[in-house]
Amino acid sequence: MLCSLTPVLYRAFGNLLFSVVKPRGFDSPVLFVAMVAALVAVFIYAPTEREMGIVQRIYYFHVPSAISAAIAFFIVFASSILYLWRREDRFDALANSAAEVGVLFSAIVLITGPIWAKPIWGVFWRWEPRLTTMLILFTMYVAYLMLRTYGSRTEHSQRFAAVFGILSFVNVPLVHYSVKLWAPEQQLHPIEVMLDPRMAQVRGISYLAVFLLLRFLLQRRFVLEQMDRAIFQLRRQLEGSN
Amino acid sequence: MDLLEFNFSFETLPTNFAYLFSAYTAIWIILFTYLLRLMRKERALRQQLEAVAAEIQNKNGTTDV
Repeated sequence: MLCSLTPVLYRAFGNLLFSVVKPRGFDSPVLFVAMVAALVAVFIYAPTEREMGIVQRIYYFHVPSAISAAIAFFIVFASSILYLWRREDRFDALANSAAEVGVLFSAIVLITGPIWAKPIWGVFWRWEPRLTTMLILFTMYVAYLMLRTYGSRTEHSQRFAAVFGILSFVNVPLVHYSVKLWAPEQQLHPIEVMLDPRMAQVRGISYLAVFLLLRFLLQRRFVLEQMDRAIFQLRRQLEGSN
Repeated sequence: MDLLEFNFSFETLPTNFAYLFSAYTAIWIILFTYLLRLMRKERALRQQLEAVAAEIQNKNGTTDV
């Protein structure tokens, strides 16, 4: 029963992953409209937070960027499993592309976070659980990208990267639950965020805009990755026939 | 006439405006730098593709590649 289900599951999950990077004609205009709407909502529609003031508006791009990084790293994780299972090159290409985009969003989180922290906590950085786990996550995926960039283009290297991509994902739930796992006196991040209804609406628009941006960047990066691999294969065939 | 006068001063800016400005500037710089990098990579790959196509053409001695 399970054996007959595995090809179906594999195809369904594979198709779901690739539907994320499938280009559609209306992608760019929709992204543009969503971005403009998000910026208008953040700077004009959203009310100013009582305690933090105007600087709280960083939240509307900081948090969606963190969620987008987690989604991108999940794509690395799932694609790496599928690559190890079926050894299809397209899964390895998707994992590599998603890791790069994930690192980009993590960098946004790690830069905007301290800028927000300075006026609120009085310091740019403190070694508290969420900040520390996020920095470790970022470092691990930078290491993954270095492995991809400087490693050889062999199946052995791709397998090694896939295992590294799967293991690195362990850090994502750790970042999420870090506010609950460590003692409250060590925390600076809130466990739960209660928002005014208008703020919640703005958060929804920002999520949509940043998720569309993630999809757009991932699509573009995946196309380039496939192009690069096709050129590499052509060159190898040419060298082999000489 | 008063409506056309623009009295800008740093004192009128809300508290912590500089932090908000810095954060959003950083976001856009990161995004545009990455997009620029992708564009450069695409251009380089297109050039490589043309070079490979020319190589295949030379090898086959034909023009229909």
